[in-house]
Amino acid sequence: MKKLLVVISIIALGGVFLPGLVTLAQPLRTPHQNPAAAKESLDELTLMLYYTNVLGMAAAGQYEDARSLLDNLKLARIPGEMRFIIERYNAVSGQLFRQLDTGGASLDKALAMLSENRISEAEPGLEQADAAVREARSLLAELEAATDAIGEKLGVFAVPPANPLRQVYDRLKQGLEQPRHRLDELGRLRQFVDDRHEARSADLVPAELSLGITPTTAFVGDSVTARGWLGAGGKPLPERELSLVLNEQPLSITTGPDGSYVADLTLPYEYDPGLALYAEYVPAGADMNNYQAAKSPPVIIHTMFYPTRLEALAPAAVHPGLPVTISGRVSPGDGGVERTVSVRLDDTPLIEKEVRGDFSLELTLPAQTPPGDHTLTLLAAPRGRYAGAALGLPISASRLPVRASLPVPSIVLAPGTIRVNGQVHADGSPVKDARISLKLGNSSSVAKTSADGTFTASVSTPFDLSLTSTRGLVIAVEPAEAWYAPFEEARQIFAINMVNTGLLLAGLIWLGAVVYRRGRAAPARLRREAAAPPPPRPAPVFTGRKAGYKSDDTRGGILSAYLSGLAAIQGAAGIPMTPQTTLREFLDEATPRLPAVARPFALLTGMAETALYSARRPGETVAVSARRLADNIREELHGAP
Amino acid sequence: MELRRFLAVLALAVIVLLLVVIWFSPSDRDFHTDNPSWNGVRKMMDGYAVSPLTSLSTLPVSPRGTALILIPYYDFVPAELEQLQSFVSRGGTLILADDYAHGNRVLEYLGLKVRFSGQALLDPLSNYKNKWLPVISRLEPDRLTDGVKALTFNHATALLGVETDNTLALSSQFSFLDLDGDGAWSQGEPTGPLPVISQHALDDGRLILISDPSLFINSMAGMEGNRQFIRNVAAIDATLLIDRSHLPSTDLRDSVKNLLAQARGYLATPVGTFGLVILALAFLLRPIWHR
Repeated sequence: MKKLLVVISIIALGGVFLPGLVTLAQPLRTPHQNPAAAKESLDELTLMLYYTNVLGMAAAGQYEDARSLLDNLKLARIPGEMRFIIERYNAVSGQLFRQLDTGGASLDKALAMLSENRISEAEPGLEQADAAVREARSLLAELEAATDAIGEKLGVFAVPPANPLRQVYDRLKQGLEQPRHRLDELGRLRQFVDDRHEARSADLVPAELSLGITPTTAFVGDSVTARGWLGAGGKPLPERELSLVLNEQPLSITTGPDGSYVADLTLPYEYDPGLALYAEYVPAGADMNNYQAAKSPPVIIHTMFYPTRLEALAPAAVHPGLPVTISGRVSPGDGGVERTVSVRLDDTPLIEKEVRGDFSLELTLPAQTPPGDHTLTLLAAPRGRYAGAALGLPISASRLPVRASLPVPSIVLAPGTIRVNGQVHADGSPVKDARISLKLGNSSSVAKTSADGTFTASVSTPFDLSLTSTRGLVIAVEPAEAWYAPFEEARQIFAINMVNTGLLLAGLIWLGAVVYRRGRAAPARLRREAAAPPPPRPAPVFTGRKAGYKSDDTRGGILSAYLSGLAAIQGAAGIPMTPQTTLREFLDEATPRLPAVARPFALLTGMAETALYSARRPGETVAVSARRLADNIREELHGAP
Repeated sequence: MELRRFLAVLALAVIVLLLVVIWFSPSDRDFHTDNPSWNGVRKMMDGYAVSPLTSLSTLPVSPRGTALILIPYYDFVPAELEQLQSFVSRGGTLILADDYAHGNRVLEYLGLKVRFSGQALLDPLSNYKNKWLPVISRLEPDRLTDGVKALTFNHATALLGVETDNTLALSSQFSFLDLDGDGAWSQGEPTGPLPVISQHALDDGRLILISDPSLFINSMAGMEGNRQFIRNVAAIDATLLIDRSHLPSTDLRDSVKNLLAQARGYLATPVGTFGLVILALAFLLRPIWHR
């Protein structure tokens, strides 16, 4: 019992400590928390620090970066009661930065215009700057109010000045002074620009610039002639340099002695039906002190070109690595004009070819093209008066399914070898050079298909000691060509282990034989006993001496009488008294055969039982009666006492 | 029946009963495939027909078209690393999701420069409830991020040494790596955006790194962006496997359950089966033996 308790205690202690050892082997950090039970929290410090950084950037004139930082705050998780204030704060801050940016940029632009004597062009910039500064002042006031509201919501005023939250808040408030300084700067700049504008307007004579074009309609690549005149106060301005700007491309020309100018312009190969042309004069040198800049009204040149029509058909389903033909027509193209047609798959260029009219392109999709929907884009490059064209063709990339005939036995013997003679084909055609791999448990093998798609592969059924088992045989086919899809099939094979089954059968046969022998032995013995009475056997040695009784003892006398009667009965009835037979059983067995002595033997048996088992010592009269009964039995059976 | 024999029979009955209860009761351990509560991955297993893998030695011979999710909470033996390398180089997709465990062992073995930081990625502002649950909104267009607006991580880390071309997702600008573990940003700690998901071509296969395996747990997998992301992960390849052999297992019940599973596996081996047959024969033939 003590040993049992010790063993149980050791197991219990092991159960307590062993899991802990496993825990020690794992990372110490918490891998996750239950998001449903996670406590919500807002990091106020980070939020206000972030705003401080935003305002700092704005103060440095980095408005774009400041707005980008504010945009990032859209990703921030703000609790419900704060969300509105923060969203408004972000919106107002963003507007403020935009107005500061616009105001500054407008003034800079106006200043640049004024420096080139472009007085009239500077005016819209000045008005725009005025509006921006006005708006910015009002936004800044809103922002200050919103900052106070945020401070109140976050409980900033309830914490001592030394608290980090209060300190960050104070920094934020200080940060708001920076936009105010910037606004003051803009106000001063506005005044400066305004003064300069007034002075220039009064001092400089406006220049006049005209522009005409012939013809007003022309093909792309053709020339047109631009004519005009430059003057000031009705007098020509000779030998002045001015620019003809066509499609944002400037061309410098110089006026003649009468202030007029003529220039031939070649229309670019821009397939736009209307191109804008204007002339621009910017005073330079001594003219800077005399004339304002001038810009002619724009003239529209109607350009002509031949539109291109591109038609093509592609198969709806294509297979990576397998050539495919695209037929189409580019028109107009019958007049001997060769056109360059290129094809792209999504963003990948595939082919480029010179074609005339009808065309047929053979192309191959890259082997690594993923299955799914793609777009083939056909581009007809512009050529001379012929505009370009593009056409998108939706296609679906897929791999051809592979089939395999795999005659695999459903029952195999182990250990042994499974031999598979199969064939791989796709749409009726054999698939050659495909890699065939067989895997059965830890055993595997590889083979390759021949030109007719057939293959022979074998895999061993590994030795194990199971009797029978169901094993999974996985056959994988990897075609060499990219247009075929890989194929895998799993088969269940019933394996019979001959060795183990034999061993088990032997054991069972042995067991069966033992049981059979036992089963046969018992009925045979019974039959023998029933068929004929056994030869008389010598009576068992139930002597008083052997039983340890003394003849002069009363009990011994009774038992001696019983044994005497018993010997006569055994001899007459032919029934031996076996050691395991009780006196009563022998009586019941023998007396039916000897009814004449049934009563005296029954009495004698009773006396013997009393002598054997009774605690009371029998009297001498009983012993005498027993001897008499024994004599009677012998006399009855043998005729002599 | 004498007392000693009675106690022995009673103890045996209790042990058998306990084993049966353990065998049939679901796990509540982190990332366990049969754990239906918040920290298991049962939902993903059921939703996307993910097959559990009890050992890396049973990886498919032909891994093309197969993706393996690996959450490496236990270290690897050299043979396992070799099996992983073979899997990827022969065309398999390895999805290595790690935060603070042994993912870098795999990356070292595969010869990549990228590493899991192993430090907590906190985001005080762009988060779900608190800074330990960062929301990842900067996603590069890819099949994996298709239709995903944002991901929610849970006690994540970041990736180090990732090339821009390989990056698929970045944490927000508010995020930072908590190197000193004080829960707040300190001078010198890297700030966002930090890469959290990347993909790398490796021979014929590819490797996808996710700096938070908790993305897959039941309570996180149901979140809108995460759900779409997992759907995209499941659509990468035809077959999706999850390795169970390196998942956390800490309590006695799991240990016993694992032992039972191992015992079952052992009995399924030739030696085990042979032993069982011998034992059964000996028991059956005991009366004859005694004669």
